[in-house]
Amino acid sequence: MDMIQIVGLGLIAAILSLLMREQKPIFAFLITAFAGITIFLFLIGKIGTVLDTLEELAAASGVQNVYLKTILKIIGIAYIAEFGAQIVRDAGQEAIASKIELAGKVLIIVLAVPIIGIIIETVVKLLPA
Amino acid sequence: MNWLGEWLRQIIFIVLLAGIIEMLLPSRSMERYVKLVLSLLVLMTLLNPVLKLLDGNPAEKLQRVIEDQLNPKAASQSSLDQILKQGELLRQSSLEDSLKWAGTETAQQMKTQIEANTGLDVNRVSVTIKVVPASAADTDEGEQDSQYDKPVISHIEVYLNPAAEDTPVMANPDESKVNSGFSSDSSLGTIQVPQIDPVQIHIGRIGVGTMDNGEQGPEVTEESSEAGDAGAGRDDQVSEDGDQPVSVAPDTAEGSKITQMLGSSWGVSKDLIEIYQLGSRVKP
Repeated sequence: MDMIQIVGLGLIAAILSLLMREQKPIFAFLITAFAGITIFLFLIGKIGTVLDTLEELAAASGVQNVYLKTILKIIGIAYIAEFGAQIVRDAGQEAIASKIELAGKVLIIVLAVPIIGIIIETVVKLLPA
Repeated sequence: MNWLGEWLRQIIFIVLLAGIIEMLLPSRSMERYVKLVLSLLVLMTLLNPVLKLLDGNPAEKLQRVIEDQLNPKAASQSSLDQILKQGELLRQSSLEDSLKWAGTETAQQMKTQIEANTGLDVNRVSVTIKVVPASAADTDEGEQDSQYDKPVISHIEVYLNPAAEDTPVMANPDESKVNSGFSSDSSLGTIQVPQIDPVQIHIGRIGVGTMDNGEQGPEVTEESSEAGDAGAGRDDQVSEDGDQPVSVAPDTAEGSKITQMLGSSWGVSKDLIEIYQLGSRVKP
């Protein structure tokens, strides 16, 4: 049912946007963005349940909380960057979209830096001086 | 073998999680980066025992580093605050320990002194020492010279073992007089030397007998309420007294002797000394 709703919303938005594109391109973009945001917000609830389950599992299995937090941060960054980039790309601004994606990638790598640091430190300690 | 099970569980979970996350990913463009971080996490989990051997808890360290990275100012601020707070706590606890130690030592010496000088059978002596802050001490009349926090004997309790039928006969008739005398003395004391609690010199007995119990019951409550009003720092002792089955009654001879002796040799005001007589089975 959810899926049908989403597909219906997407189809309607696509047709409206196609119709509008002839007259007012800016409204066509607005319709597209609105449809995208609606679907995204709809999905956030679903992702939330998945994440809750993951957190419960993590707590049960005794995984360090930091690891899970890092992973969740990565997902969040990836989703938001992807979504923003797509909207901007729909508006025809390929350059800005790629910048947004770049920012997302950089932020994800930044999250990896402390882990790399700790691992390298350990390896250095393990090696004989 | 417990750590092995824990370790395996963590690895399995992290790998599973990594698989789910890769499925959740929105697009291919992010995939390589996310995979890098995930593989690093799996690597950290694999190395976890080694890391723990080398330097404490790697997860905590990672948490600290990540938090520092996310908000450097707040993190450093909070950590500085925490360090200061911990230092303060340490200082307090060491101060308390040393005060407690000094109290027990002093009590021991007082006990031997009392036993040697008066020949009474002292069950125990408890001495409470508190620190008067420098600023508060400066405002007092007598101690302008004190620049530092100064430990002061704030309270002495002497518990006498049941003696062989000496004082208690005299105790009852004198009660009202001595009480009134002491209460006026206490008001005087608070006016002259503000940090000092009111005089209470008592010899009490556990009221095993019927008559004494009935007469002395109200006295106990009066005394304790008076003490509670007089000194805020002595609330714990008041409650302690309430818990203990030591009944309180003013003393005549030995009490004054003990207070005078302690006062002269330790420089403690008489107001701070309380003397209790533990209950005697021997009826006077």
